[in-house]
Amino acid sequence: MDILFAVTKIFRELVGDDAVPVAMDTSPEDVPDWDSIVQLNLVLMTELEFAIRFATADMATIRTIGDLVRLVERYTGR
Amino acid sequence: MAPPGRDQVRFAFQIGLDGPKALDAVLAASGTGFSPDGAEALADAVAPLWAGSRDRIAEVLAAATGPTALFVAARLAQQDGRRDEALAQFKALAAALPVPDAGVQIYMGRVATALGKMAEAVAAVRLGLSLDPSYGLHLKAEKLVRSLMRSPEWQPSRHLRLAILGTSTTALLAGPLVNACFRAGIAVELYQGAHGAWRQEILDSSSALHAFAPQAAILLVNSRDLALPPDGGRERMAEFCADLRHAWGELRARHDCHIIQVGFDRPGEGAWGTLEDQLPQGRRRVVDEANRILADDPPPGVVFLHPGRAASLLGGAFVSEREWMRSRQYPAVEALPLLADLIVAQCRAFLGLSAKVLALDLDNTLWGGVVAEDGIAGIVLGPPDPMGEAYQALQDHALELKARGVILAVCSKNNVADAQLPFREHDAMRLRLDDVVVFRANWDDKAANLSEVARQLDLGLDSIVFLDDNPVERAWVRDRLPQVTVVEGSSDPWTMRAALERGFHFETVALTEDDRNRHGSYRARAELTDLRQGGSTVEDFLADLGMTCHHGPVDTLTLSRVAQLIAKTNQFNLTTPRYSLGEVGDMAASSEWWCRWFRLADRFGDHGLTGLLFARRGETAWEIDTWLMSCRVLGRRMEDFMLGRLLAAAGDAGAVQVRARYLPTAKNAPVADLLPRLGFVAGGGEGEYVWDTARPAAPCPFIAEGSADVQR
Repeated sequence: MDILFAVTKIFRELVGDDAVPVAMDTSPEDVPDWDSIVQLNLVLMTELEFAIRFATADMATIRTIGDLVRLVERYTGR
Repeated sequence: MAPPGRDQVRFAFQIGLDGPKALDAVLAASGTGFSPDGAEALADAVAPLWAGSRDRIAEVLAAATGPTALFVAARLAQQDGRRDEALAQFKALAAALPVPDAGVQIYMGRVATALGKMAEAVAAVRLGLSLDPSYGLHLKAEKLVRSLMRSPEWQPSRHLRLAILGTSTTALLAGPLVNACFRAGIAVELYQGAHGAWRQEILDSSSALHAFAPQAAILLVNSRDLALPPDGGRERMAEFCADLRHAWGELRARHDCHIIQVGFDRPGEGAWGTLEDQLPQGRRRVVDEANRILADDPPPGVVFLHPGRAASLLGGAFVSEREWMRSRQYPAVEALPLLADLIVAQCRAFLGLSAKVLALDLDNTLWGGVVAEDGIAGIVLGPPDPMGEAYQALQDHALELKARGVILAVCSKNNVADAQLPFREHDAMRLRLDDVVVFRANWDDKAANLSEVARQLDLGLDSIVFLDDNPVERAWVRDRLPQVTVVEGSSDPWTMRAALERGFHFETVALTEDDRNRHGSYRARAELTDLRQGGSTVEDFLADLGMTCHHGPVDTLTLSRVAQLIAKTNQFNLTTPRYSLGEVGDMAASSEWWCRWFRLADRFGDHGLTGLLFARRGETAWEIDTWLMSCRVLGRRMEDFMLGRLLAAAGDAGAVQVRARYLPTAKNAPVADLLPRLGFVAGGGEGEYVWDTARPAAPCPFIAEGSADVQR
């Protein structure tokens, strides 16, 4: 399944907006509701969705949706 | 064969089949089964293909039967904005599942909300949240729950300002807490302290915490706070516990708030192995001791919650060191829903919202088999059959609840004679007929019977928990009587008992003498109701009861029971004030108030402190502020007795008038005409009544005067 699609779905659930535009370069500056709790939950839910666990050092590198998608690609070997 | 799970579904879409073909293959493999994760993954896989291959996908879905196809169709309808269709399909899906699914319920709630069907949405989400959903599902529900809480259709039973103070990140606990409060009918406003700042916040009178003025506070600590070495550290531990106890006092002094102190988790494996349990200063032993210090005789208003309860109910690990290291998350994210449910169960207890009645089905619930068909020798109950032992264990649990003050009722589709036979004659039965206060065995529908149980006990439907192995009966009762708590889960005796326990329905703040006496009181009540229906005169019955009423001023000994009665009495409650423990204490100590408790005893036993009458003393007129009675002594004319004592006291004090008024609520209709019925005369403003103290109260021949010295 498309990783961006899955991450988008999780992200939209978390900010409670089905229509918020999500792209690889979307960052907290673009979405006012993207606070630290959304960030924490986004990482948690992505880990659960793909049954992976990020190293703590990798988590600190997530600044955009694209960063998260690329991290999932790396961890799932896709 | 189990329906394909998430990974199998994803695999099916990756192996080169085209989308509609993969969908067809997964649906065929799913059959009539339903895997929530698998269905969700399937809907996600189909969603992006929908626009391009609409006709072929629709064709595959139309040809398929089974819940998985319904789920995919509902999600696609939702995606298109065809909400009516989506709702209809989610409902069809719910009806097709043997046990409700939390995820489906939450989607249903979302669609119903979008359609403005709020009542339906509330029911769907409440059911979903009662099915022990994962943290992920709680997150999905949270935004929806917050919007439902704002809708005028949701009518909470109580409001609560709740503060969370902790030594860890508590942000993620908020979602499951709000959800659990919503399920319990509590409109909650949350305050979250900065993590680790609890001492400063409590001690600093200008802190945001104090501005928030909490009515309840959760103190969430964990064993990492103690930084214990493998052997030693008891002094630091004792100091930390003393700080916590001091914090309780500060919080209670300022806000008169309830405190839920979560205890320390037991440290896991450590370098010293078993010595950490064995040496007097061993790490795990010191933590056990810390919990004992916190649990030992907490002051009124403080409850101790041992995290071990959550840990032992949880499938996975209660603490994740990884989550702790990376975000100071405690306990593990997956443990948050359970911890939230435990916390809210305590809130329900002090808000007077805990359930009071356990209504039990019989066949295949209390024993295996159908007694009317299998006969008394044919039912499965007791050893050596393992199922028989499990049914017996379920009965033991019911008996333990009864001893704790929970009222047992039976609600069964049976002939009475058949239904009662095992209670009378089966050796392995733990429950006997006189353990059951209301026994309803007939062929009426169960919703009607449960309504009758509530009526006979004079309790609200929301105080009933219903346990039945039959999913059809459960769905029927849930649908007809949304106020009743229906225990969900599968139908074998082990899981039924586990699901019953997992609901934490019957939590109480403390065990009072009244809790132990409750069974006898309600049996007398039920007998009274039967007599009324049977034609004997109530007067005969009352005279035969041999009632004595003791009464006295509210004091420190009676304070906690008085506050408990004020919190939970709904029906016989003239004005329904919800005074806190501190407020009652102030009123009782003030010379401006006459605050009296009443305690009724009869040949069935002592019913304990069951009536309160508070009046404000004026120079010439006294004003009744609070008048309430526990429903277990209704119909005994205790109100006449209470009024007589008030009129005498007011007259003695030189007042010429007693004023009173009735403030209607959703539940206190039984006292709507109390004042005129007793002989009060309308006067003053709207809904106000007076009694001139020169006129004596009506005689009360059935109740003898007791004394105030009786141990309360």
